[in-house]
Amino acid sequence: MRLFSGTVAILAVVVGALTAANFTQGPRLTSAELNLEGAVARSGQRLLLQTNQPLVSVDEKQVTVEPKTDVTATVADSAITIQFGGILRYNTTYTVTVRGVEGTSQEATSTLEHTFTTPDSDIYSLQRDVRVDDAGLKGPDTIRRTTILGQGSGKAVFSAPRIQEYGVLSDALAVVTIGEDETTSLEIVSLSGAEQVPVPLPTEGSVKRLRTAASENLIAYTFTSSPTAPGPKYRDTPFVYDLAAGSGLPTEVAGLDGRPMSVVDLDFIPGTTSLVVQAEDENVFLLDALKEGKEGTLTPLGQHSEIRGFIPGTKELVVADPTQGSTIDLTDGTVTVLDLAESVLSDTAYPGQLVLLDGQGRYARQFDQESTDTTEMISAITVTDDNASKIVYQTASESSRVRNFCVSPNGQYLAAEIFSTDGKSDSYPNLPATTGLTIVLIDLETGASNRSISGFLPGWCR
Amino acid sequence: MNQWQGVLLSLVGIIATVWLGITGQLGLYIHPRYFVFTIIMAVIAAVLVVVAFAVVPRPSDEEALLDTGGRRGRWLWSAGSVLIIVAAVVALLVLPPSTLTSATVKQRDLNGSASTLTQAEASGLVGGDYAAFTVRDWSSLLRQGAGEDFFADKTATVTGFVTPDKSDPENVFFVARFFVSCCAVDAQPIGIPVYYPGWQDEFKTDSWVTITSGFKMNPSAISDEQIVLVPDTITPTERPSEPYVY
Amino acid sequence: MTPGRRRKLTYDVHMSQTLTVRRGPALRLTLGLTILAALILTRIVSPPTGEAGMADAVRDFVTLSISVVIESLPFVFLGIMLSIVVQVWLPEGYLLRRLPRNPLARRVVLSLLGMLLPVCECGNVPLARGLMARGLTVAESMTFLFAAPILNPVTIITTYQAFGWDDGILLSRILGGFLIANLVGWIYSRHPRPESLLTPRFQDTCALGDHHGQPTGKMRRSAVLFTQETSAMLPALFVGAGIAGLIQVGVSREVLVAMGGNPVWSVLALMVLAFVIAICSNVDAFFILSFGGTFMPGAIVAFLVFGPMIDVKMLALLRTTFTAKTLLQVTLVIGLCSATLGLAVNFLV
Repeated sequence: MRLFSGTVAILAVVVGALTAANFTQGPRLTSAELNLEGAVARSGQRLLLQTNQPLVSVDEKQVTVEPKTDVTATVADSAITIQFGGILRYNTTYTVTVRGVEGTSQEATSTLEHTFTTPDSDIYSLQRDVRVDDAGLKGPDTIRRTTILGQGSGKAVFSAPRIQEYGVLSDALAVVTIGEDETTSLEIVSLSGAEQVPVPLPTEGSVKRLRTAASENLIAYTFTSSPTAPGPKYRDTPFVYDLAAGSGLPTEVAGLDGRPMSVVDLDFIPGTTSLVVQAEDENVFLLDALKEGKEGTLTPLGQHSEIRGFIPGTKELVVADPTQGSTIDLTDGTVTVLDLAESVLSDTAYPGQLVLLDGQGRYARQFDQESTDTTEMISAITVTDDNASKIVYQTASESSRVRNFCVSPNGQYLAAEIFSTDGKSDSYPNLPATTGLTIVLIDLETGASNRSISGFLPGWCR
Repeated sequence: MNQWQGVLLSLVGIIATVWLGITGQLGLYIHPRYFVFTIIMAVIAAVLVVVAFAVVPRPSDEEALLDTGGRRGRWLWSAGSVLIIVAAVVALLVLPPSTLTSATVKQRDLNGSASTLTQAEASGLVGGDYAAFTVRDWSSLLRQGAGEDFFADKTATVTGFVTPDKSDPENVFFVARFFVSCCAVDAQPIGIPVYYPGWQDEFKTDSWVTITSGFKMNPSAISDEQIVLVPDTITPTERPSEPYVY
Repeated sequence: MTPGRRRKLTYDVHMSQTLTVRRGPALRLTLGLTILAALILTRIVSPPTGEAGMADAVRDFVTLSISVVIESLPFVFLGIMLSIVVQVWLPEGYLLRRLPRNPLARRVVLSLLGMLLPVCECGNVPLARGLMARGLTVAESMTFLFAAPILNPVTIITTYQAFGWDDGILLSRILGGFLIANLVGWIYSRHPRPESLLTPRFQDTCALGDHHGQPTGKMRRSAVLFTQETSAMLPALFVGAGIAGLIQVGVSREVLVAMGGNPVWSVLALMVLAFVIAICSNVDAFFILSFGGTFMPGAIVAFLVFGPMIDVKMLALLRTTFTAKTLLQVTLVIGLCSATLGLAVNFLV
C-alpha cells in the first residue's frame, strides 16, 4: 500500500510540475512552410509559421528578419503568416524571429525563430569558339550551366558548331544554331536527357530575338525568310511556339491589318503568357501568346522609341522616348513618367544602357569615360536612387569595357558582359561577339563582383 | 433484446455500407483507400450475422453476470438499446446520404489547416499543368502568397460548392471543397474566393458550381482576400460523385 | 480457492449446456432473414438524395456521425474476427503455455499479448477473468487488461491511419500504454493479499467455473462470440459517433479552440471526454481525429491512452471482477499517468 501511495504522490508531483511548466511556456513552433523556389522568383511570398496553440495578433514590429527584409505579419488561429515584401536573395540563410508571441489562453510569451536557406540560382552562358584546328574545322560553341556559388563556367549542357543565341525554359533550352549556309534553325534541347526537337520554321531564313517564358513553356522569336526561299515572305515577323501545345507548330503574330507583323523588339511579361512587341513604326502592343489569331488580341500601348524590359518582380514595362522614359504598369495600364535622380557620373561620362531596379526610381546605368592617363575608354556602372549615387562596378583594365548588362530576376545581382577591346570578332551574321567575353556578377547590396564566368548572353538576361 | 443488439446494429451498418458501396456513395463518408476493405469486411460480417441468426441460442445467465444493476437497470438498458437501434436505422437507412455543408465550413475555418499542403508538393506545383489544378492546388498557391503577377495570366477551372466569405458576404463567396485525409470527420474546408456581387440571387449556399476564370486583385475593399476569381459566368453543376478532395 | 488448479475451464465464452434451444434454427434463420429484408427494403424505399428538410447543422451532425460509424465498422469487425480466431479456432491455451518465470518479464510478455489476442477492451474483461482462472496472478492479468487494448494490431493500424507519425501521437500512445500497464502490474504485484482486490462474487464465479461446460461446436461458439462482442462494442460506437458529431456541430468553434489550445485544459477536457464516451480502442482514433485540428497533440495522446484503459463502460465491466476500492486506485494511477504523458507531450513536442 505504501508503494501505491508513493507512486501516486510522485505522479501527482510530476503532473503538478508539468502543469506549471506548461502554463509558463509560451507558444512553440511546430512547423514552417515556405515555397523556397517561389521566394526567389516572386515578391509577396508567405512564410507560414504553425504554432501549437491559438495566438493573439502579432504586429510587424515583433518580427525581425536577418538579412533585413520588409515583411507583414498576420495571425490566423495558431499560425502566423509572414509575407515578404520583396523577392528574397539567392543562396542566403534567412532567420525570421518573432518576439513576444502570446497564446490566447495564457499569458506566457515566447520567441519563435525559423531559419531557412534560399536556393542558389542557375546561370547559363554561351561560349563561342573561333579557333580553327589543323584540319580547318572550327571549334564548337557551348552553352554552359553553373550557379552563383559554383566554380568556373560550369558544365556544358549543349554544344553545336555555331550557336547564335539561346533561351532557358523550365526543363529545356531553346537554341538557335547557324548552319553552313548562314540560315538558322531553332531547336528545343531537353535538359533531362530527352531528345532535341526542332521547331519547324515556315521556310529557309533566320531566327532572331529569341525570348522564353520559362514557367509557361513558351518561346517567341522573329523570323525573316531568305530572299531566295520559296513560299510567303516574312520580315522580322514574331512567332510564338507553345511547347505544351499538341500541334507542334509555331503561330505567327498578325498585326492590326491581319498581315504578319514586322517588329524591332519583343519581350515576354515575366511569369505570364503575354508578350509586348514593338512594331517597326515604334508602336508597342500587348498580346497574349496563347490567344493568337483571335480578334482584338492586340492592345496598343502607344509609340515608344525603345522597350527596355521590366522592373524586377513586377509587370512594369520600361519604355524610353527621346526626351524621357516612363513605365507602363501592364496590370492596369498606368503610365508613370520616370523622374530619375542624376548619377554621379552624369556630368563627366558618356551614358550608356539604363536598367531600372525597383519601382521607386532606383536604377543602374552604364557610363563610359576616358581613363585619366590614356586615350582608352573604361566602363563603370553606377546605381542611383533619390538619396545617393555610387559606382558599383568599374572595369579593371583599360582594355576592357561593359558590352551589356541586366539585372537578375530577383533584383539582387547585375550580370555584366565584359569585352576586351583587343578581342577578335567572330563575324556571326547575327549577334556577333568577340573573343574573350566574360560575365561578371555584381552584388547590388555589397558591391562585390568577384564571381565571373567566361562567355556571354547570361541566362538571366534572356 | 440485449443479446441481439449488436447483431442488429451490425446489420444496419452492413446494409448501409454495402448500399453506399453499390450506389457509389461511400466517398461521402470515407477516403477511397478504404473502399475495398470496408466492403469486404461488411460482406464477411454479413455472413457471420446470418450464421449467428441460425445458431445462437437464447442468452445464458452469463449475460446476467456481465450486466450491472438490478431489474430497473436492465429495463433502462433495454430502452436505451431500442433507442440506439432506432436512431441507427433512421440515420443510416432512412435519411438520404449527404455531404458536409457550409455549417461545417463555418465551424472549421476555411483554409485554416496547415497540413493540407506540404512544401515539397508546392514547389512541384509551380510550372505544372494548370489545367489540372483543383481547388486544393489553387487555394494552397493563394495561401503561400504567390502574388498577383503569378496569377495574372492563369485561368482556373474549378468545381466546388458555394460558401459565403466571412468579411464580405455580399460580394464575395468561396468555391470550396472539403479536404479529407481519412474520413469525413477530419474534413478541412478549402476554397478559392470569387468576386461576384449579388451571387446570393443566383446561387444558393452549398449549391455546386463550375467556374472558369482568371484571377484578379479583389475589387471588394472590405474583403480580407487579396486575389480572387472574377468570372463572367458561373455554371451550376451537379455534386460530383467524389465530393471531397484527397 | 486456487483457481489455477482446475483444468477444464473456458475463459471466454461461457454458455450453459443445460439450456435447451427453444426455437428451431430454421425458424430463427427465417426471422433473421426477414429482418434483413425489411432493413434492406427500408434503405431502398427511403429517398436516395435530397435534404429531408433538415437544417444544415443537423445534416452535418448526421453526416459526421455516419462517417465515424462507416469508417470504424470494418475495423470493429476485423478485431472481432481476429479475436474469434484466437479464442475459438486456436488450441486452448496455445498462446499462454510458455510464459517466462521472472515476474517482470512475465508481465512484459503479457502486456504484449494483445498483439496476438487483438481483442477490444470490452472483450478483454472476460479474457482477463479467464486468465486469472487459469492461474495468472491478479497483477499479471491487470497488466494484460490495460495493455492489450492499446498494444493491439488493429488499434495501432487505426491510429496510424488517423494520425500517421504526426506529433508523435502514435508512438506516445504505444509506449505510454505499455509503461502504464506495467507500472500498474508492478504496483499490484507487491500487494500482500491480491485476492482481496477481487469481488467476492468473482471469487464465487471462479469456484463455480466447472458449471460452464465446453460450448458445443466451434461454429456456434464463433457466432456466440460475435453476438456478444458486437453487443458490447457497437452500442458504444454508435453513441460515441453521435457524441462526436454533436460536439463538432453543437459546441462553438471558439469554445473548442479556446479549450483545445490550452496545453493543460485541453488534456483534462479530452480525458473527461474519454471517460464519458467509452468508445472502443479499435476505432477511438477515428473519433478523436475530428478534434485533431483544434486540440493540442498532448490532449489527443491523453485521450488515446486513458480511454482504452478507463471509462464508464470499462469500470462497469471491471466491477464484475474487482472491488470498488481497487478500481478507484487504478483509475487514480492511470489518470495521473495519462495526464503526465499528455502534459509532457504538450510541453515537449
